[in-house]
Amino acid sequence: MAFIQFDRVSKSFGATRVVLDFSLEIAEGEFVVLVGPSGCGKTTSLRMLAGLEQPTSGRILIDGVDVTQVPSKERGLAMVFQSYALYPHMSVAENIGFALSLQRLPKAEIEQRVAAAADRLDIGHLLSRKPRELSGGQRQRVAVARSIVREPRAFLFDEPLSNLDAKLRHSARVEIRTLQRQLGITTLYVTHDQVEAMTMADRIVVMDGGAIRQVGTPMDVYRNPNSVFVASFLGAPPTNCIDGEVTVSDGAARFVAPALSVPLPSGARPGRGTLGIRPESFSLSQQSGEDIRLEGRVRFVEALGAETLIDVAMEGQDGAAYLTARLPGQHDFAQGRPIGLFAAPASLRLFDADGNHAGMGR
Amino acid sequence: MVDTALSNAGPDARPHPRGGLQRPLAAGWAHLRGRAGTGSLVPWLYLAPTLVLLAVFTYWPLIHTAYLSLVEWNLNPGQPARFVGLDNYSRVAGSNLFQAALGNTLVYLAASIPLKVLLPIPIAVFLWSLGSKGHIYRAVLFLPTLISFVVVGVAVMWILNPIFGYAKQYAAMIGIRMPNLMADPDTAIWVIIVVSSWKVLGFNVLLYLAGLASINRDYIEAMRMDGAGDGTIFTRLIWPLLTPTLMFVLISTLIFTMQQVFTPIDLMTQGGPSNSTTNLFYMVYQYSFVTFDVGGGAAGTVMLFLLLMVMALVQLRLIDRRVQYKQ
Ligand SMILES: Nc1ncnc2c1ncn2[C@@H]1O[C@H](COP(=O)(O)OP(=O)(O)OP(=O)(O)O)[C@@H](O)[C@H]1O
Ligand SMILES: [Mg+2]
Repeated sequence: MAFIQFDRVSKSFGATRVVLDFSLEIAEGEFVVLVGPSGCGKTTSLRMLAGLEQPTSGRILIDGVDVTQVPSKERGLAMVFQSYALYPHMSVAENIGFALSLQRLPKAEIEQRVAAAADRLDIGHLLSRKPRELSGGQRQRVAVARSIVREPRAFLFDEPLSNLDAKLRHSARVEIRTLQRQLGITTLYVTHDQVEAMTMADRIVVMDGGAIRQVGTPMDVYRNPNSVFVASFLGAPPTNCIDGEVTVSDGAARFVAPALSVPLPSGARPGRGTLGIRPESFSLSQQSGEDIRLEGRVRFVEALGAETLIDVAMEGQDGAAYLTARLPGQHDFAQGRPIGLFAAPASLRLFDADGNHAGMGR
Repeated sequence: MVDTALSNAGPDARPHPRGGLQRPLAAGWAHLRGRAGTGSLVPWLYLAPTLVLLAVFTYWPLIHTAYLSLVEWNLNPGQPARFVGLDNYSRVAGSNLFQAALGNTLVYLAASIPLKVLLPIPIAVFLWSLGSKGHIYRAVLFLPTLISFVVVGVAVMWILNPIFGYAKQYAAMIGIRMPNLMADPDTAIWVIIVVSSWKVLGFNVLLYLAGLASINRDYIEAMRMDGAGDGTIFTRLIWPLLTPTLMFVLISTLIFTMQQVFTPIDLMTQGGPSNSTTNLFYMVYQYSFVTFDVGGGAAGTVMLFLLLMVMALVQLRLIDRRVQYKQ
């Protein structure tokens, strides 16, 4: 259990700047998830904490102690690799107990701790197998068992579930999270899967282009994205983002885009901007008198069973806007049929010309 | 043939399992894929080129050599070969030349394990750890493999020449007179061993690099996270994962080394001084083509063959037992 700080950490490979001014504090026992698109520097940040990569500048502290120059083997962290990196020539038991054998613990204690870790992950019957004789899901469990057996100061995970099928991924998510809660070990978890990020994290760190874009609890980041990037990164399907203009006349603000004009709460400043609406904010009927109404035509319907995704085109004289609505239950709309969608004003989110939140709405 | 093809082209054109060569080729293929080797000649046809080559250039010479080892003959076609039973074997085995050659062969083999099999490992691991920066060293190390051994032999003889050689001035620098290494029965064999090791070093480094390339670097990082230092990583990870390559290098080097030293021996010492550098391979040549004792040469060849076979068998057993194969 440890308290981890990244203090203005940057990393360049040659002239390529990969991580920029990365500052983050992870509290003891906290589960923090790094998310972001491919190549945004998540793995690099994790590896710098692991000691596998040396920061170009900045400091990394564990429990207040600067470990930037400390080799990985002395940092006391455990890492689960995307490839699992199980030693191919060792049995499962040897893989799990390897770190303990390096600490020269008595054989009986090693065996007992390996058995305990294996039991926790339900792989007790696999201890004598070699990694090549395991399925993907079993390998993933062995990798996790190997990391918990040493009771590390923190867990580092680099996309540990990306090689599993959807069903297994779901159960592994729950298991890792449960295990981490029971052990109370500080965890930094890297993924580009936003479902993992939303469901597992105490706090989410959204990265883009090597920099942190937003940090917060999953719900906070989901509800109050601070930029167009975060709004469109989290959520599936992503937030509808419509480029347009804010106009103010007689103290009443409106957002105007081709084929669309909606009233905005007061306080919006005129200029170019982007309007964000989550797909699930729409409904087919008016819920309150303040609801805004958007008119369009059905382009495409995706029936998912429990819900239906409807692609809508709003066409005006000077262009068109497209959005996706996500409605509970089953709906059957013919293509091209006119449709009216309602959304509460509070669900609108306005971003300024730079893509940052413009400080209105919720 | 045409008739068969046409009649086979009907709706019931499935190949007959025992159609043999009379069926059209396509049917032959299908037959091969379906049930292999049920009395058809087709598989033998595919094997024929290899079998013919093996028979003409490997098995026949083997049998003929065994026959020659039992006769007395001097390569003269007009002279009839005289059957002498096992005389050639006892004569060769009892000769000073054979005993020197056998002893030297063991020295060549023993010396090649540390110099040709083990020494390349740390070099390869070092180059591997350099990543792509190591490419230039790789090329430099591999260069000796490409140079003709004749050129190397001549160059070494020039360098080591005690009167006008290049090494003379360096010997003088440390205050010793350049000894005549090639003329001394105690040192000549080591000159050949060192030169042949130098020549094969880069090649074996390359083999080890190929073995190392298949070791996922994640394993190393995982070990570091587990608390291992460089030494532990080498002994617990790299070494076990490199054993298949090591076994391959060991077998190929030991067997190859017998022939590899032929050129430097012939060029630099002709087996001398006083048989101190000859080996079994060169001895066969000495018997057959220096003294034209074909029976003696053949008997030596058969004994060499048996030695190599035993070596190969022992090593194959070792591989089965010791090697850690990866996923
Ligand atoms: N050793 C390296 N040398 C040069 N560039 C590198 C190196 N490692 C990573 N990079 C670059 O740094 C950037 C960030 O890489 P990183 O692996 O951290 O991304 P990531 O966020 O983990 O992406 P992914 O989701 O695809 O795993 C990438 O553009 C990558 O090309
Ligand atoms: Mg990554």
